[in-house]
Amino acid sequence: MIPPPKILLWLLDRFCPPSRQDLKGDFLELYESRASEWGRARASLRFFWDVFTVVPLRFLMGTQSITTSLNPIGMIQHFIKLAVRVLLKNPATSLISILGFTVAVGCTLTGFLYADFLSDLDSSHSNRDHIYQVVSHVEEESQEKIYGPSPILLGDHLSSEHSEVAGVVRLKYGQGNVRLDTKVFRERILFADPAFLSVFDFPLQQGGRAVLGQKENVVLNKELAIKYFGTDDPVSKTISIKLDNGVTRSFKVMAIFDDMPENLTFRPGIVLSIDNYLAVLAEPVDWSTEASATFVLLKNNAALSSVNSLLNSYRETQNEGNSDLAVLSFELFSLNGLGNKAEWIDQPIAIGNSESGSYVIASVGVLILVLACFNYLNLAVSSGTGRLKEIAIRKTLGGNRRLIIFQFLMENIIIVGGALLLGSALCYFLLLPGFNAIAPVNVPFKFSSPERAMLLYLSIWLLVSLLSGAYPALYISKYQPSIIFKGKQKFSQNNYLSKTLLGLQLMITFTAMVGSLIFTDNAFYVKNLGWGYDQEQLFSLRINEPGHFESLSNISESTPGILSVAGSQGHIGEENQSASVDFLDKQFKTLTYDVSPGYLETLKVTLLKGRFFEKNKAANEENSIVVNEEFVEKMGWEEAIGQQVFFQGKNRNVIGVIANVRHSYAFGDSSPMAFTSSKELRYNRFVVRYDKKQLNQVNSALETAFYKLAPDEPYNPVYQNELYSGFYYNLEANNALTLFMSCMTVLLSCLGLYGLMAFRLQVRLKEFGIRLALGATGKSIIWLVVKEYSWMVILGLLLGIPLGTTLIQGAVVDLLTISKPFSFQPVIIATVLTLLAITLTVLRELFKAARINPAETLRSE
Amino acid sequence: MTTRNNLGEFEEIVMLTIGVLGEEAYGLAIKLEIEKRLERSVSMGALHTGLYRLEEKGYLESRLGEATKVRGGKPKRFFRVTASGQRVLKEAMEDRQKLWKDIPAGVFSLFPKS
Repeated sequence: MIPPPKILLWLLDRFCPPSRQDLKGDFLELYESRASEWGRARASLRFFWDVFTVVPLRFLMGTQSITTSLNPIGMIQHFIKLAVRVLLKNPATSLISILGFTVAVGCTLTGFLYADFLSDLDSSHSNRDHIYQVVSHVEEESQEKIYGPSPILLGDHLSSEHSEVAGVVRLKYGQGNVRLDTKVFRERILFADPAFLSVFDFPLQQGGRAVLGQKENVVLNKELAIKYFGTDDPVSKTISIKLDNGVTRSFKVMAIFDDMPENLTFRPGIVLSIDNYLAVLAEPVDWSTEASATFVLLKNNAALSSVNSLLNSYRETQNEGNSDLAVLSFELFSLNGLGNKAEWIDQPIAIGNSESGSYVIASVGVLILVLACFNYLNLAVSSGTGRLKEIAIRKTLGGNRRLIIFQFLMENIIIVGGALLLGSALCYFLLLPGFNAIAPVNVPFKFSSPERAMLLYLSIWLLVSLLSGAYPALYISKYQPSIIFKGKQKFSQNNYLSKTLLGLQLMITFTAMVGSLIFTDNAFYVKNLGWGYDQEQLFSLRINEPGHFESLSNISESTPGILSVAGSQGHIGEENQSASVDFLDKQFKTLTYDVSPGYLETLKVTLLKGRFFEKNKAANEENSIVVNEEFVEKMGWEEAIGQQVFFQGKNRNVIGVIANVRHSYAFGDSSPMAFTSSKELRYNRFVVRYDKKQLNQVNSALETAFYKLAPDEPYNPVYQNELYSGFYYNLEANNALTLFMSCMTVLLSCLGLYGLMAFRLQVRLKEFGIRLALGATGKSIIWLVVKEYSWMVILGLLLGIPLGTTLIQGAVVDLLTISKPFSFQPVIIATVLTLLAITLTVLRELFKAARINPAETLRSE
Repeated sequence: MTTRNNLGEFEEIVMLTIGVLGEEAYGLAIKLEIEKRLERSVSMGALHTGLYRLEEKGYLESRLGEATKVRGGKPKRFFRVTASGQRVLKEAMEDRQKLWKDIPAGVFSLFPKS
């Protein structure tokens, strides 16, 4: 016996005449045979469909027995019919309501999908709720913080000594050069305990979950397998990896990860057994040896507090064993939600997204939904006054207020229901793909559970229906038939509520527009901001042996397309080391770069005073130092050239001052910088300024030379202008998002304004007709209408502009790291654009009002 | 014109199928039989509405079967064509036969008269 879903049975009970139990039996029998033939889903669908075919029978039998007080199905059917008619009768208003709701539902849905996605990270790990990361509260510079890495020895103790721990996985990230025949790639390597693959459910395409038990085995993800072996079967192939202390080992590919779910907070690339790390990289393992993260899998019924207290019994041992790290206490963080805590943890392993970000997006969605509700509220109240006679007749014929409220709510439920479907389509086809294009994650159109989807849809449907429909329904149902028929019912002349709501909307619109345009203005400013040197046509290579600098320089001289080269220890933007500098009683930290003569010229930094390093090899620049403006300012020097500072073990004379240059993604972050040029070569970077047109030749010449010098190192040019591409990507994404959101608010409030105005015109048609007949001009009629609405626009403008300006300022500094001095340009453009949109919206209605033919409007009745 | 009870095409099919099924004529069986023999789909609602109407007209009579554990404990309703029902069916058949007989030779070229 396969019973159909409960909801379908319930539905059948509604529709099936009570005296026909046999019909129910037929349904159940049919369902069972269909379910065994087609599967339950299809059978349920047909069942659902079939139930509705019974409706005529229900009516047929229902009319026979008038014992029930009312026929609710008939009444609802009548209401639906009426709602559809009303909708079709005012296509413009209906369109505005449905369009408004559709856009709003689309936005809200997108926001909720994003929030839902973030709230259910790592759901593909079936053990998620029993996996915990061991983090520690540590004290550093008298500040308490949460520290992600944990002592590697802690893992050993946990796995062997506790009965409630089912598994321990220590993870350690490292770097290595992967070599395949002639190609070398620099990769991030994850060393993991053998239990890694069984505790976590990363999907495997090939291989078993026990492969990490073998020290010689390596697991690759799909992308890397394709990168290394193309279409060949990667399993059992061998790769050699040179670890960072120079030891090279061969590993056999024994398993391949499958495509990973979107919502993982960390994804492994190359996984080796942690024994490799312990045996090769870690010096004698003691309490100061750290794992990037330690995860424990607790048994189903384990008491968290007891594990916690056992964990903390190692605190003393740890603090004695590792005096550099003062652990106050250990704590277990559940994997469920771990990604969202990343911003609170120092060196987190699981990176999700900030919870606050998703709340902001979801609340913007809700805000837009509220705006759409305002619109509908206004429209419904004004359009309801056109249906007074209908209401009066209903009341006279015995309809009570409750029924009329119910009727109006019903109409609203139908509109919102339609908008829900359209909004889902909008979200699926347009908004979500658009959002994914700009967001750093790829959110699928999928809810974490069907219950959540149901809950969301039902609550949007009911809440929005009630929120936007309750007031109009109450308001309209209030009228007394006797007053309406006498013609004494006053149309709402001064609907303050409508106008306040509209004013509020306009204010939000101006706020959003001004805010997003200021943001855009700042984004443009930041995009075009100079870096203090020429970042175009410049790349750097990492070199391992300082001697390689000479060899590469020699080759460069004969390579066309290479304009100049330089060597350096550290490189502006890519590797900023710092050291402290002394001058008299002053001491502070400065960024430091040891460069070859010609480095500053190659970068094209701006020299403000003095000179660069002498290129002549005979010149002695051992005691020279070039500093930047910030350095001079920190020192408080009037004249910098010739000053002597104590830096890196030597007294050095300042020979030149350069302008500040950008060295991190943050523009506002200007640090002191010092450049030295030692005789002894310690360079780890080879910097090349090239000619864009000959980049290919430059790369191939250097690559050949590079592999001859260092066959185990990857040739990996880092283009200077791409250093902060993530920052610029984020900037554009945020810009697009704010612009889109503000366009939505403009659209919604224009819709609201249009709807309200169209109806007010309808109500005032006769008045305008009389005015025109008595000699008023079209212009004066337009003025009359404009006057009614202009104060709302002006009020919205006056309140919205300062609000938008102040609100956005914080976000600008947060996201762009620097803000442009305030200028009126974006504010003016935003205001003009919004006013233009509003004017265009109302223009047609205004002309309609001016062109009224009094003969027609006054003739009726 | 004398008052005659006109049968709809669907009603006629339902009644004939009940005849075909004999003792086993209950809702779902009728539906499946029609679908099998005539290769047309019959909706549950339409069939039961038809059965209800025919019973009202007095052409069908029904009795409830025993409630069993299958079908969610719901009984089957078995139909039988009443005497007046049989009469109407016969009339309908005869009407048609008469019409067929009176078609002049050569009009239906596909079915020439023997």
